[in-house]
Amino acid sequence: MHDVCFLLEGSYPFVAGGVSTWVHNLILALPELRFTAVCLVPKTEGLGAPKYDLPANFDYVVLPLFDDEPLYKRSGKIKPRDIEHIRTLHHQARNGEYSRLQQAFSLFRANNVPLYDIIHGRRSWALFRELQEQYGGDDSFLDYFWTFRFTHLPIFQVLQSEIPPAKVYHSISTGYAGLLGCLARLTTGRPMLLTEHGIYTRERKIEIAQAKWIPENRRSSLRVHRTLSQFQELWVRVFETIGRMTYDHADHILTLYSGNRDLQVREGADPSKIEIVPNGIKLETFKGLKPTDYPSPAQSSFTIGFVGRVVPIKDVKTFLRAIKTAAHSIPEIKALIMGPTDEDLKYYEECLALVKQLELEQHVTFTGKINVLDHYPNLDLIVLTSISEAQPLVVLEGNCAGIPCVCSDVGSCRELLEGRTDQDRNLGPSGIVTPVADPLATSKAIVRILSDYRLRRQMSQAGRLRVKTFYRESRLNEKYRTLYQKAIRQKDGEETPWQE
Amino acid sequence: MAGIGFELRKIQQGNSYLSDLTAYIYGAMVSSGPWLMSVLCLAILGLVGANTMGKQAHDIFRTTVVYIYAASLIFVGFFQMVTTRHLADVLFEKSADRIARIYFTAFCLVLCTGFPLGTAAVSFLELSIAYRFLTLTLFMLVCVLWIHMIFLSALKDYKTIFNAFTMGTAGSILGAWALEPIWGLEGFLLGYTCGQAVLVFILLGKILAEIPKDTGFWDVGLVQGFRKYWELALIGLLYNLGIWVDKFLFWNASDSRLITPFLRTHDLYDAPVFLAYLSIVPAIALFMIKAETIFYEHYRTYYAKIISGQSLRTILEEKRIMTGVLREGIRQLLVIQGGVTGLCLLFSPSIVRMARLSPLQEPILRICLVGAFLQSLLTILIIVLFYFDFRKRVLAVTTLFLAGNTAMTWASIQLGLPFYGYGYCYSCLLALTAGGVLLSSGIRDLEYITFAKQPIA
Repeated sequence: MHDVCFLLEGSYPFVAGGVSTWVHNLILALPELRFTAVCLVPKTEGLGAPKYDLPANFDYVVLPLFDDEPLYKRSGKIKPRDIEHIRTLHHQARNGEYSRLQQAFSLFRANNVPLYDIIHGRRSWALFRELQEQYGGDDSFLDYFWTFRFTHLPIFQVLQSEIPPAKVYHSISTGYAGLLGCLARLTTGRPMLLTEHGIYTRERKIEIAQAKWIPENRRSSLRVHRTLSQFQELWVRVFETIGRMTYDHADHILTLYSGNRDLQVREGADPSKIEIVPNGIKLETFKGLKPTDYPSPAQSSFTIGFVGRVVPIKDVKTFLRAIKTAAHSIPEIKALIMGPTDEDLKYYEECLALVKQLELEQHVTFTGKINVLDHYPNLDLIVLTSISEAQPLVVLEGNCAGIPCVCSDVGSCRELLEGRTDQDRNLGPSGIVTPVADPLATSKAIVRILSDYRLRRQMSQAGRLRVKTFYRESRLNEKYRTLYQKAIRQKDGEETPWQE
Repeated sequence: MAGIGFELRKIQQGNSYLSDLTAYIYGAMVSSGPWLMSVLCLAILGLVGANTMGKQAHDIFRTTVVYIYAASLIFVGFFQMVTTRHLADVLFEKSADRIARIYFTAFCLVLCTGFPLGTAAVSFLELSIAYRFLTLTLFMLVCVLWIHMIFLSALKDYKTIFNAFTMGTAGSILGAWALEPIWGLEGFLLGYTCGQAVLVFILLGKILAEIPKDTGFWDVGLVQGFRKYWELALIGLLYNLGIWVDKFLFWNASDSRLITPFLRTHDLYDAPVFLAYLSIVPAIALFMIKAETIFYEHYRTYYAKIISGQSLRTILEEKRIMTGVLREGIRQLLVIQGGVTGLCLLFSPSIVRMARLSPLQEPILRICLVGAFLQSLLTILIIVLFYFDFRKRVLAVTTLFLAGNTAMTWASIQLGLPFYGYGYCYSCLLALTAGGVLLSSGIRDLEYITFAKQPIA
C-alpha cells in the first residue's frame, strides 16, 4: 500500500508547469514516503512520455476521461430504483446537499450502472429530458445535450475507475480530480487533502464565459458581463457542484495565499478548514547574490529586471510605458525583459514597435529565454506588471537576493511585499504594490525606490528576512510532511485536528 | 453542366444533422415507376403480338421479358440501395467530383456479376442461340437501366427520365412490330431490345453529360458501403424478392403451364396481378409530389431547428407539424388512391372484358387490386422510414413481407382457385401494419434516436 495518492488533473507528470514542478519537488523532498498518483488525462492517445524524471518513490496510473472504450465494458439495463437514486442526487446537489452521494457512488462501484445504458439508454434519456425540462429552459437543446455529455462522461469515467489503495488521498484541484477525491474519501474512509494553486471552479467559469463571446484577452475579462446561456450555466453548475462537493469532503484544504482562500470560501468551502501554505524557494540558491551593504548611496545608474514571458497576460506594454516616464527622472536606467519572446510573436512585435515609438532603444533589452540567476546580482529592482498571477516565485527570489520589487496588485503580490500575518507585516515592506495596468503609478514606484537608497536598503533587508522566515521551501516540505504523517496515523473513524 | 450544378447546390444547402437523404429516397422509388412502364409496354405488345405471331411464340416472348424484369429487379436490388445511399453520402460531403467513379464502379459491379449469372440462366433455355443471345443482352440492358435510374434520380432529372422512357417504349413497340415479319420471334425480341437500348443510351448520354469529369474509375467507398450498409443490400434484395415471390410460387404450382423448358407461366394469376399494378400509378405519382414539396420541407425544418440551437419545445412543435403533414398526406393518398382502386373494383367486370381475361380471373383481379393498393402504401411507408434512416426497421418490414408472401401464397395455392391472390394481399396488409407500428414508435422516439443514440465521440 502507498502512503500518499495524488489525484492530478492534466498536470504531473505529463504536462510541465508550476503545479507539476511543485508536485515533483514535494515528492523529492519527502523520500521516506511512498507516493502514487491517479493522473486524469483527456485521452490515452497522444499522451507522450512523462516530462519529469520520475522519483524512485513514485508511480502512477492513468485515467483517461474521454476514451470511450472502457465505457462499453458492461451491458444490461439500469434499474428504475437506481435511476431514482440518480434523480434524487441531482435534485439534492442543486441545494448543496450530498446525503445521497455515497449511495450513488456505490451504485457505480457495485457495477449496477451499465454505462452503455446510461449514455444511450431510454431510462437515462427520460431522466435527462426531465432534468432538462426543469433546469434547462428554452436555450439550444443541441448544445445542452452535448454539454451534458461532455461534462458527464468524465464523471462516469471517474466513478467507475480503480482507486489505488493509499493511506491518504491528496487532490491538487477540485474538478474531476476532486470528485475522485470524494469517491476515495467515501469508499476507503481514508482522509482526503485538497491543495489548490489556482481556483479550479473559478478558472473554468472564466473559460466558459470567454469561450463564446470574448474573442480576445481583455483587461476586464475577469468579469462576465453577459448572462450565460442555459448550456453554459449547466457547464458552470457541474463544476460548481463538484467543487463544493470536494470542499465538503476534503478533510483539510490548503492554498497559497489569502486571496485564493476568499475565492474558495465564495465557492462554498468551509473557512475553518482552509490553511494558507505559501510556496517556498531554496534559500541557498538566492541568498548573498547582492552584497550585504547594498545599496550604496552613490549609485546613479540602475538596472531593472522584468522576469516573465512576453505575452499579453504579463502586460509588458505597461512596463515599457512606466520605464519611459521613469527615464525622465532617472536618465541612467536600463531595463532587461527576461523571458521567452516566441510564445506570442504578434505581441512581441507590438512591444518592439512600442519600444521604438517611445524611443526606448537605449534603455530596454529583450534578452529572450535566459537563466535569471546569472542576472540577479546586477539587478536593482524587479518589476511585475502582470494582469494575473498566483504566487509569483520571481518576487520571492528577488527579495531573497536582496532586490526590492514593484508589483501589480494581483494574486499574492501584496502579501509577498507587505506581509500576511502581523509578525510578517512588522518586517516592513519589501517593495511597492501598484494598481493593474497603471504605467504612471508603476513609474512613480520605480522612481521612489531607486531615488531613495535608504528606502531601498530597508526594503532589501525586509525582503531577505521575510523570505528566510516565511518562504523557505523546507518550511513547505515540513508542513506537508506533518500533514501526511497526521493523515497516515489517523485510525479509521477518528477525527484528526488538522489546523495548528 | 447547368443542371447538376444547380441541383447539387440545392442538395448541399441543407447541412443536415444526419446525412442528406434526398437522393436516397428517390432511389427507393426507382423500382416502381419503370416497372409500371414495362407492364404497360407488355400489355400493348400483347395486343400487337398475339394477333400476328401466334399464341405460343408470343407467350415465349412475354414470359422471357417478365423473367428478365423479375430477375434484374431482384439482382440489381442488392446493389441499388447501397449505391444510392453511398451516392447521397458523397453528395453530402460535397465531393460531387466523385460521382463519375461511383457510377463506373456500380456499372462494373453489376455487369461483372450479372453477366455470368445471366449466361448461366440462358443456357437453360431450349431456344435458338440468337434468341438466347438477345435474352442475355436484354437482361444486361435492363440491369444497366436500373443503375442509370439511381443516378438520374439523384439528379432529379424526371423530365429526361420520362422522355427517354416514352421514346424507349415507343421504340420497343415499333421495333417489335417492324422486325417480327422478317425474323419471327427473334425479330420481335430484337425489336423490343432495340427500343430498350435506345432508352438506356439516351440515359447514358444524359448522365455522362451531367456528371462532373473525374480522373478515377474505381470507388473503394462504394465497395465498403456494402459492409457499412449491409441492411440496405439485404432490403433491396428481400423487398424485390418479396414482390415477386408469389409469382414464382404460382409459376411452379400444379396448375401452371410450361411454355418451353425453364419458362413457365400461370394463366390465371399472372395477368390480373400485373394489371392490378397499373392501378397504383396515382398513389406513387401523388406521393412523389407530396414528398417533394410539403413533407420534405418540414422534415428538413425539424432537423434545421435542432442544428440551429432551438429549444426542445420548438423542436417538438416542429415534429408535431411534420407528423401532421405526413398524416394529411397519407389521408389524401387514401382518399385518391382509395377512390381509384374503388372505381377499378366497381368496374372490374368491364376491365376483365377489355383485357380479354376469363371471368374466372375477376375475383383474382379484385383481390389483387386491393393488394396493389396496400403495396403502394407499403412502398410509401418504407420511403418514409428511410427518411428517418430507420434501416433496421425497414429490414424487419421487408423480411416480414417476404416471409408472409411466401407462406400465405403457398397456402392459397393449396387452398385452390377461390383463394388465389389472398396471399399477396394479406402479406401486404401484414407488412403494412407492422411498418405502421414501427414508424409511429420511431417518430415518437425520434429525439431519443437522434440524440441519445449518437456515438460519444
